Amino acid sequence: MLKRLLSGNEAIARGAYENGVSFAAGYPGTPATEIVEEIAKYNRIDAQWSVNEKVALDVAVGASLGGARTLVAMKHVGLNVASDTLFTLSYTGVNGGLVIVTADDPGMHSSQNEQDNRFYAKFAKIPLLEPSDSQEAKDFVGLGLSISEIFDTPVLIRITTAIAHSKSIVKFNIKQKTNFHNKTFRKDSAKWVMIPANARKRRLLVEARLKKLKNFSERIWCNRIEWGKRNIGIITSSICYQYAKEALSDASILKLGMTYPLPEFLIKKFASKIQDLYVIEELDPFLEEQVKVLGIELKGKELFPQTGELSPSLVKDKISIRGSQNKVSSTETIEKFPPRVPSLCPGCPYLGFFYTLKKLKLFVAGDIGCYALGALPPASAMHTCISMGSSIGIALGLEKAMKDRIKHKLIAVIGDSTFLHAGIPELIDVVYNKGSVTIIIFDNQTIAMTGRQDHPGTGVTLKKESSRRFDYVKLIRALGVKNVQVVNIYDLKATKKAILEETNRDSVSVVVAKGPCILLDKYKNRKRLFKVVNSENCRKCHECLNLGCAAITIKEKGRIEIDAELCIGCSICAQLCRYNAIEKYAPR
Amino acid sequence: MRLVNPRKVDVIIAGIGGQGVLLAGEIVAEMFMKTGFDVKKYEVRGISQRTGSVVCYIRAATKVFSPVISEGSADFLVGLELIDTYRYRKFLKKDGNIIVVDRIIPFYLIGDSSIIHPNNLLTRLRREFRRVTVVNYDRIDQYFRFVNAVNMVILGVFSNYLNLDEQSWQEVIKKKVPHKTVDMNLKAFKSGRRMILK
Ligand code: SF4
Ligand code: SF4
Repeated sequence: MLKRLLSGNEAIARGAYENGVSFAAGYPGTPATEIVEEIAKYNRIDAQWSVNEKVALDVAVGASLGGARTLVAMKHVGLNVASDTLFTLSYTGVNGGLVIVTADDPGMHSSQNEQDNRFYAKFAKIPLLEPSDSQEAKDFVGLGLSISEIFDTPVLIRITTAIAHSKSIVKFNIKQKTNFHNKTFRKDSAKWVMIPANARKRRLLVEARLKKLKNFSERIWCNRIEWGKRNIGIITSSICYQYAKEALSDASILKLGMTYPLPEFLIKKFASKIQDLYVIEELDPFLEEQVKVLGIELKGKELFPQTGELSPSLVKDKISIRGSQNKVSSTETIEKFPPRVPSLCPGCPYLGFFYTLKKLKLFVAGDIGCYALGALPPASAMHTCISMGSSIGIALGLEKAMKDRIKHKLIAVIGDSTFLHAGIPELIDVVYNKGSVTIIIFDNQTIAMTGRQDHPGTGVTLKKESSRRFDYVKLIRALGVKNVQVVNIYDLKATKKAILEETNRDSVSVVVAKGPCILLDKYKNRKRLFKVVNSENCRKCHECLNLGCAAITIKEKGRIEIDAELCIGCSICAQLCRYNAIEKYAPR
Repeated sequence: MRLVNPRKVDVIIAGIGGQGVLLAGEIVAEMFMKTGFDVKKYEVRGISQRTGSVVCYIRAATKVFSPVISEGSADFLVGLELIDTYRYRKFLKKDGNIIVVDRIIPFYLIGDSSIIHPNNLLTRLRREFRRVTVVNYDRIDQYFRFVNAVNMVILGVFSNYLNLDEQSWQEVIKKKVPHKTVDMNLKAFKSGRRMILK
């Protein structure tokens, strides 16, 4: 049998392949990005990056309607964007099986919030699957597709960072079917046109479907009891199952793979045989509340935090194997050791830009992307960051509220892909409502933060085919913005001039600041020119340290040194040094 | 030195983005798989790409549940950078092994910086743990430093602690690194494996 070490994300992609998915879509977002990326490597599957998650889900709905088995993947906040379609999709149901994967991020490793997306399943009244390792991640895709087709419903698979990014052994199904028959496409407006008259009828079907799903969850193989000693019983799902197994090896465990709707009889049967019952789950008490409603006594969130990730040691600490509760764990001794503050890459095009923003003392409404790090020292030059595209609207609102008190002192900064994702309607709003905001679009030719994916602005598709390259200037002009400039972000003087010119205007303006992400492959092989400090000229003013380039460090007696292995030779530091102490040199 | 407990091995590799922590972890995990163990691997990376903390957990045993290693239970802590190795020391058990490069990659510092000095950190590590092997950064061939192959050198040093033959290591490395860099990576690995350390 073929066995491989796969991450949860790779396993989901493999599951899509083995189970005849023929179309997949998504928008990059940690920790979900690799799912669609890996799917794209299978020639048989048509896969795409969409411009945002709602579009991805809409295209997926069309593909399902067209008969294809379909998978969509996104990070937790992405499902917020797609939720408009999701709630009504629950009514229409599907044609070809449709699975939506949401990757949640407990602990907020790379996210702006910690929402628990299991609630979306309950909210939208659709079934929810939670794999606990890569094997299940693969198997649950097949299970989800079958449930979707049998019960005529979209299915939500929820993973977390610990599932998405951990690798475990997966057995491949090599004798898989290769000829999956697509469902036949049929016009059926009673099912697909959700005007009130039709929706009211579908609404009843949704409730009937939930009842059937509840019965189904009593019997499905992924919900099972692992009997151990009966004094301690654990109800759990997802990665917490692994933590429970590791920490409490003799406890009885009700392992739930399908966590909505819940198998009430199975839970009652389990609970009736257990002395002390616990629910172990990360984030919100999603299982706990539903089990408590059944009139079952248990302990859950009074022991475990509602925030962050759990761990085997935390589980062990809270539930003693002897059945008596341990002392509450000593609050972790706070490490006095300074944390490694995340920073932009050495030579990142944003470094010089935020340096300039700081000097100009502007209020900066920011957005989602690597550039959010501009909020951290030394630049500390970004002052809001909430959701995709919101920088532009927030800037407009500030202007409306503060008028002359903030006019000419305000800009919005947004990345290229973020602008395409959600910024365009916001820009239209500024034009329409006569705002005078200046918007900077960072064109770094990639979705950098999630590991460099293509988007409409790069003119390359997920399958690496060339496509139409999006033209920012033309679009922005067409939206009614008269003042549009394009600058090279590595030219400190020119960028500064452009920012000053545009912020001083009384009408809306846009600056497209161009500079590729330094990690892009096409720039990897460029000749590296290092800058070193010419110690005779250096007056130790330490202005270069304000740039925050990780390659520049201060050594003994205030001496400045540039790390030759980190520096990419972008020249920004040399531009800002007033004493010409930083200069080029050719390596070796 | 050979595997302390042949039924279970927990390894942590720590470093910063751009150093190849994840690739090194990938290779170790693949090696463990060859032994027929159950294997899990987990990596934690922050939002920043280069110069952010990266840590990778690799676990092998007859049956592995949690991909995350609990504090005080890792058998090995392999460090490509001193500050971040120091940071993850709490995961190592008291008689665990540390293999670390004495290189510091600085960062914009908030707070007291006096502690961040190689000798200071090494002394502290040695005070807490008995088995600390230090690879002097200056002893690593300039060439390997320049092409970012320090991870392979350290992997070579680490390989001496495991009962796995060199042939298999080479096969896995060949499989895992980009085609064009196979020779360079194999050379780096070898130089680490042959390095004589006090
Ligand atoms: S040239 Fe200066 S700013 Fe650019 S990467 Fe090198 S040290 Fe950093
Ligand atoms: S990944 Fe690219 S855009 Fe992001 S910080 Fe690094 S250089 Fe800048």
